[in-house]
Amino acid sequence: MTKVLHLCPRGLRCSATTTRIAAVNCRSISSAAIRAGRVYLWGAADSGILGQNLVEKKVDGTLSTQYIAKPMLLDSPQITSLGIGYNYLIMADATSDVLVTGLNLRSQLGLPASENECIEGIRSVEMPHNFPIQQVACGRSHSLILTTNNQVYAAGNNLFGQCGINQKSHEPEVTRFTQLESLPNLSFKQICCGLDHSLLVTTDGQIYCIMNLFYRVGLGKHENIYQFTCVEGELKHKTIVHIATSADTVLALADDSSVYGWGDTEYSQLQFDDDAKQICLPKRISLDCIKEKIVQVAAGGSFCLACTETGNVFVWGFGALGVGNEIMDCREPRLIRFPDGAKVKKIACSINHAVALSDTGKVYTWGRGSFGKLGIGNDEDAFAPCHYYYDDDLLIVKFILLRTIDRKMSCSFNDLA
Amino acid sequence: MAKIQATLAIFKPDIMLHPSRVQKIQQLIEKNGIKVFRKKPLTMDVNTAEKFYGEHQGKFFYPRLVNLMTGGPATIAILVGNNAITHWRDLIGPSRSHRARSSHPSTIRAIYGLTDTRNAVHGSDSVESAAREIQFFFPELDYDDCVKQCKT
Repeated sequence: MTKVLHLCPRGLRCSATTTRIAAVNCRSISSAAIRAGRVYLWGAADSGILGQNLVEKKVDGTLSTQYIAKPMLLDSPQITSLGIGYNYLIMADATSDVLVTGLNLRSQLGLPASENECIEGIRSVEMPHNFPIQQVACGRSHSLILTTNNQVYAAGNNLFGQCGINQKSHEPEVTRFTQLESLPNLSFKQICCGLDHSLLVTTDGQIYCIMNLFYRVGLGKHENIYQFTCVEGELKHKTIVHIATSADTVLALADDSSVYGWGDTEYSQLQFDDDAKQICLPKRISLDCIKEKIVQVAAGGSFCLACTETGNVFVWGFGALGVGNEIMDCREPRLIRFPDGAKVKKIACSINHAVALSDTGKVYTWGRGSFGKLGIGNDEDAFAPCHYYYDDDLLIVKFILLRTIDRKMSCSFNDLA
Repeated sequence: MAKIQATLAIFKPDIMLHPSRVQKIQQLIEKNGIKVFRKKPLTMDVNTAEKFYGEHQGKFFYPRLVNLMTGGPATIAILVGNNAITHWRDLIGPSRSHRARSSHPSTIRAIYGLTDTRNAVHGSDSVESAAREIQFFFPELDYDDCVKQCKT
């Protein structure tokens, strides 16, 4: 990574900000953070977008992989939110500007794929409105944008209706960000994408979702649903605070701290008693063994996390769970021990890795380390939370699915190390 | 003992969204002395996918498997080489990507598989399956042709 240092005219050290991290989030194969409006990236780089000169290579005899092993700074304009998809990235600033980079084979960047299958640089995309952007959510090949007036726009793969647009004509692709047409009288407070499904939470706490592809949208039906439909089951009449999903499992947290889940549970992510592989309708998850109030949940591909009011994080499911390398399968929620007894205020997870933000602004990662997505300088799995950032003044942290940035922009990339 | 075999490989729609990874897998195939005998792009319709995975009908993952396979273009290939069936399956790894990341971390599905269904690639599991699957996608060919033509 020494090359990276030479590319760094304006390093992180020049930053005098003392703002702290406000949030964490993550997606499936890479990771990112935002602090003071600038984005830090690490993880997979094999779509070529980061520029080969910034990338580490690993050849293990079978497949060589390319990745960014340590956080890099993208000295971008004031980024306020970002979404990480499968090898693409969408960033928004406090105005209505959207910056995109990465794979675009299904027009998921809001640009027609016929013009660009991959954006190797950072490009701005015009939005059909002037409202500032509140949230960005990315899936495998479709993207959602939530504006401050609580409306939702979508672009990308619509083969299963996941963009909620052109439902009558079943357009397989939405090539520009387009406002959802089916829910005109609703306003939204959260958007969320699984790999191939979309979830929306209304400002009054109801969940709407689309696509039943893997039975995961909680509508109790087997066929695809091509329009956003209200999710009920056991969470009917509950007010939802937030939802979480990354692959095919969904968790929802209600304002009374009860937790509901649906979707895949092949790894006992959603229930602890019987052997069902999928839950079609939202079902309350018994987390009674966690004696504290749950304030946040996160759902990975084979595991789930819950964060409590006192800053403890619990995990259950399968994988590199953060509770040591001897425990891969865990049916009961188990407390994750953080270095120095750190207290966590935000959690996020992707398909097979997780990130936590402590109350002092430290970022911890654990899980599968392939593609360097833990940002700890290698691509090894981590079975306990690792801390790489030693700065206490990060503003926002988000995790990236797959990472993509441009050689032409390389003069504005910095290495955090 | 080394024996020339043919096997059917599918690059599933999930990995097809990442062209540079498809290329990496193709290089891996070559590096292992396996020859790509035939290759064609195919976007499966529901009937084709349901028929191909007919043996899994009734299993909980069947609908999502059919959905994935019809969710975009795939590449269907016939691979030929010494013990190609087991060799290709060894490179692929176990079908459940989440578990493969622990048990077989250097395999294609451990590295490139996103989930147990979106697991990047397919490989025939026996000579009988290979013969059936090759005929399914390449009706003009049969298993013995592939092996014979490759030997010459």
